[in-house]
Amino acid sequence: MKKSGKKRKKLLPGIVLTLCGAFMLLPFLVTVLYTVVKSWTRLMPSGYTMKFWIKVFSEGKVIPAVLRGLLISIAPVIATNLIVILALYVAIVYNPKAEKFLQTLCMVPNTLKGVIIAIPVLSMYAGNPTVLGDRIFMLSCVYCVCILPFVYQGIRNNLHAINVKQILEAAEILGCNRLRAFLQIIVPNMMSGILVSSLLSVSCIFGDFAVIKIIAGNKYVTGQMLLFSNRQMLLQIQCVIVVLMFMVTLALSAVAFSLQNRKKD
Amino acid sequence: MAYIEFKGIHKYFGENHVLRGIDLSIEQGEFVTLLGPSGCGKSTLLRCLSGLEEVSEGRIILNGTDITDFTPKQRKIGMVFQQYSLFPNMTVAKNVAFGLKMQRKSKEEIEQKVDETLKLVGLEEKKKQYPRQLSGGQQQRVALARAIVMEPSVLLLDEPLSAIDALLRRNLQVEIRRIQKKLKITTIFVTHDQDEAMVMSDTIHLLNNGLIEQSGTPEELYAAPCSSFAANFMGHYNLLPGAEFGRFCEKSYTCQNIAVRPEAISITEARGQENGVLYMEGEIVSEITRGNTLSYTVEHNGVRIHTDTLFNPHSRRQVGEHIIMKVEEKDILQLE
Repeated sequence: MKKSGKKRKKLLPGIVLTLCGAFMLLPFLVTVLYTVVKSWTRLMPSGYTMKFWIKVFSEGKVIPAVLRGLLISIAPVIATNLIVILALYVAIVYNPKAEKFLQTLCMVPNTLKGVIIAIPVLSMYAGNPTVLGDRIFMLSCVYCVCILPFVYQGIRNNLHAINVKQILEAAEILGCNRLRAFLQIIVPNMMSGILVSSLLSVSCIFGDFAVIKIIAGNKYVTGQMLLFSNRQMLLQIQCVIVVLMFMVTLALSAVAFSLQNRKKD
Repeated sequence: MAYIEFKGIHKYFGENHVLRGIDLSIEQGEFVTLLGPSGCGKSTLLRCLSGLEEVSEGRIILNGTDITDFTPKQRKIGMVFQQYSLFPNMTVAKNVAFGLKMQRKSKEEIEQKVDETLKLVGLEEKKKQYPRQLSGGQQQRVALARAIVMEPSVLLLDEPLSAIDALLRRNLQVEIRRIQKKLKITTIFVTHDQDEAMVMSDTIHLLNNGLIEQSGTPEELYAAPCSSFAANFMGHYNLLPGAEFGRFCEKSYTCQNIAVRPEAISITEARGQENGVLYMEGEIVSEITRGNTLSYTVEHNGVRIHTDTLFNPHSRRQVGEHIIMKVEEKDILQLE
């Protein structure tokens, strides 16, 4: 009796989790299925084909667009992480009172969405002969600002879980300077926070098309932009692009989490 | 000439005057404890010696060299913190090797020293583990190994045992003392626990409000506290205003305070006539068993004092019982 009770107790969470997983995966699986159907007007598809995948790969427009989207997502995330980590280092080591100011500053983009930032940035810097006038540079900078809250919060939460000041002091007594100690000891301990917030930021930028449309127009076509501007294209082709973008995000997450887990082991 | 000298050390944190002119000498190889309540300045003094805090006024001399303006790295001092401060992303061996790497020692030398030190603290089998896989006591031993592997001129221990449970704490007290004696390393230990200070130290410096209240061996501080504060802090003294104690023992005392150790008062069957012995009477109002000792609270004329006796089930007194006690007059400390 007891054994069967225990088994039932173990079974129930498994069933609930499987159902939840299936529910969440269902839209994706249907989308994948739709990319390989000839047409789907009745209950079941009329036939299966790989021609839409072949078309997407042979046209040579989609893959570069998805990769461009990836690039414009990763570059601002790296830049913002570096800026926030260094700013927090200065705040913690030299001026703890500045941390509050930093927090307020980093939370401002929560209230000012990307589109609101993009318009004044464009009107202020468009036509500027320096690098500031470059659309891609402008776009990267706007994204840097947009993802500030995610990046800051992720790093800050991790920093507060470690006794940074005392660890730095211990390293200093052992002959290590504070910046080196911060990079060598503190930053590796914040990697989980950095990875999670970075992934969140990448997916946020990767899925955006409004800010790109405003700032870069048609000069920088990403996967999302391609989807948006070719709404007339075949639904199956659109699904292939969506699946590709999802796979890229998934691969990125897998790499990040495997790196994190390897560190833990 | 002393090995370490603090000369007129003052430290301000804004308006807060934390150290108020500390003058202190420490001999080489000594195990010294800075004892005092929270906020008395003992950790600040230690941090001033380590270089983690700058002194506002005064000089610090180490082995004849004025190190007041030296950086922590230049001082070659080892320090163990209360919260271990181990590097979580490094194994035990890498934590211990960290300082040696900073000194750019050769790989072979680092390996040899790390192995020797881990053996000394009894953690040679844990060298590949991470701090999170160790118990609190083991983590603190790694922190100790990390400090002593550098062969520092002075070892500073800032309340290293306060986050550890009582039994382990007693073991570590003995362990730290054994290692200190073996390496003959000058050690300064900070604690607010007088029992810990008594067990471990050659010399205790009792701090109060940024000043040294009293210095001496553990026995000196316990048997002859120089002030009410010292008496109150160093043991479970009966500390009473002179007039009040006089009322208890029906004798006149003009001094401000009287301090009597509870174990100096013994229960007797009848009053005697010996010289230099004071007899008192009272009624037991409460009794506490502390393992091998029994502590009675005795009241007379509205004044209460405590007396400690060794636990003996055959001569145990009852609450409400009227008893006679005696104390040698030399054990009655008259404090101003």
